[in-house]
Amino acid sequence: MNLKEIKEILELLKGSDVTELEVARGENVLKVRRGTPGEIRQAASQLPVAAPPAGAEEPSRPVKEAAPKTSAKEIVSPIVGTFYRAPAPDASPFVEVGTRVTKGQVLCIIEAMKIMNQIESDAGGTVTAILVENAQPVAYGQPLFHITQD
Amino acid sequence: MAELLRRILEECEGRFVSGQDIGRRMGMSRAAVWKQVQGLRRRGFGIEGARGAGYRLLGRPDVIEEQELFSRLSRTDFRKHFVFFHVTDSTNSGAAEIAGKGGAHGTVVCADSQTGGRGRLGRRWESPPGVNLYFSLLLRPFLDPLRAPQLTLVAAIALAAAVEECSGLRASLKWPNDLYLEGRKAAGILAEMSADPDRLRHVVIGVGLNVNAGSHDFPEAIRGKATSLKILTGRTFRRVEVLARFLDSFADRYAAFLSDGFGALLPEWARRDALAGKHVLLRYREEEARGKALGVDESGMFLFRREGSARTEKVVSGEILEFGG
Repeated sequence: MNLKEIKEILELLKGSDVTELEVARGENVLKVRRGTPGEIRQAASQLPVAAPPAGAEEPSRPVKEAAPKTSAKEIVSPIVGTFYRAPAPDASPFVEVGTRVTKGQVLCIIEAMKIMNQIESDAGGTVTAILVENAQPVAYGQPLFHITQD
Repeated sequence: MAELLRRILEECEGRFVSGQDIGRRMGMSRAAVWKQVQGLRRRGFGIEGARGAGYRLLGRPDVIEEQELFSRLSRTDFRKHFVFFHVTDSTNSGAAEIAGKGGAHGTVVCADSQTGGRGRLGRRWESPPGVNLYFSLLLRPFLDPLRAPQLTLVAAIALAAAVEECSGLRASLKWPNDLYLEGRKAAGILAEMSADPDRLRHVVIGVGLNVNAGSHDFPEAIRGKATSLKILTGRTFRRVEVLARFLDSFADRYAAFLSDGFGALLPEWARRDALAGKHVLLRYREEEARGKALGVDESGMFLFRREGSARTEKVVSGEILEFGG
């Protein structure tokens, strides 16, 4: 399956009311799920979630400086792992509360089994809350940052 | 020009060719020939120069070139794009940059030496030129991001199999990403991914393998803990061959992982598990704990039982600081 074929499949879907589709070609599987972001989040939360990492019985609670919910975009963790605010222990954090970020800017690293996942901001704006402390475990889908969009 | 000189010297393998003859064939002065010889020497060719006799070729550098690599591969998965640097900061950074520009699945980025070879959390990976392998694979799998971290272990298994095939040594694996030979570290894997909760954009698997390094190539601080294929076997390996064996080995395991999950590869891990059954010191969440390693489960997590506890913990993120009997 190449990008062109995927594009064609997505084009086909545009004219239909199909909300979920799975296409398998050999070892390639394309899963398409449509709907509002809310619906997608709900669907995702019904997926079986991997067992929490050791010491994750109490996922860290949001820090109190949480921003008002209006217009703030939530950045969530795509994997189970450990949250790091800086690229190395002695380096300065990627962002602080108040940092202005552009779309695609790295906000933090989530590490699991030594795979480093650089989490990027999917919007431009200002970091208004950092919801997890450095070196703490995070769960799948756990909110990490609030970004207030411009 | 340098290629012509190389061919002339190779034609006369081991015998002297006079600077004058070379100059005539290349259409340049003897002084210009000398400059070209210096250039080849800088690239790692051993060329002897003797007054009155000329030049002769003593040895070629252990080059890693696309054409030869591809000809040595039996699987086609990584016979696509090969990017080679004589020097780069880190092949993982190079591969991530290529990914950002839309680079294709299966791209292999390799370097003769790295100035900023990295381990986990910014730790340094020694990367001297001419002797070892430093490379990264760019992957774009259709895979739940939650499962992507297991690729670290898949790569470690593939690397162990390739090293065993090339050297005849027995490799053991320290969860989640280190390869040991006879109790010393010979390779490390550093994987990086870019993902949203519902979409994996790409994964970069970086490998550093000590192939022909001598103990003098390691800084004193790690000399007692690091080793290479050459140190243990006394043989010199063609790096391109070791890389080809890894790429084929990884292609097999990667396909099995995508279709059947990590569980299908678990026996291959368990057979080489350096920790299972041992007492270990584990660090995670800025704390350290002693206990027993109980192996790895079918999702790649490390199984750990704390001293004095009957409960088995599943560790997804942590580091084994010490392991003994």
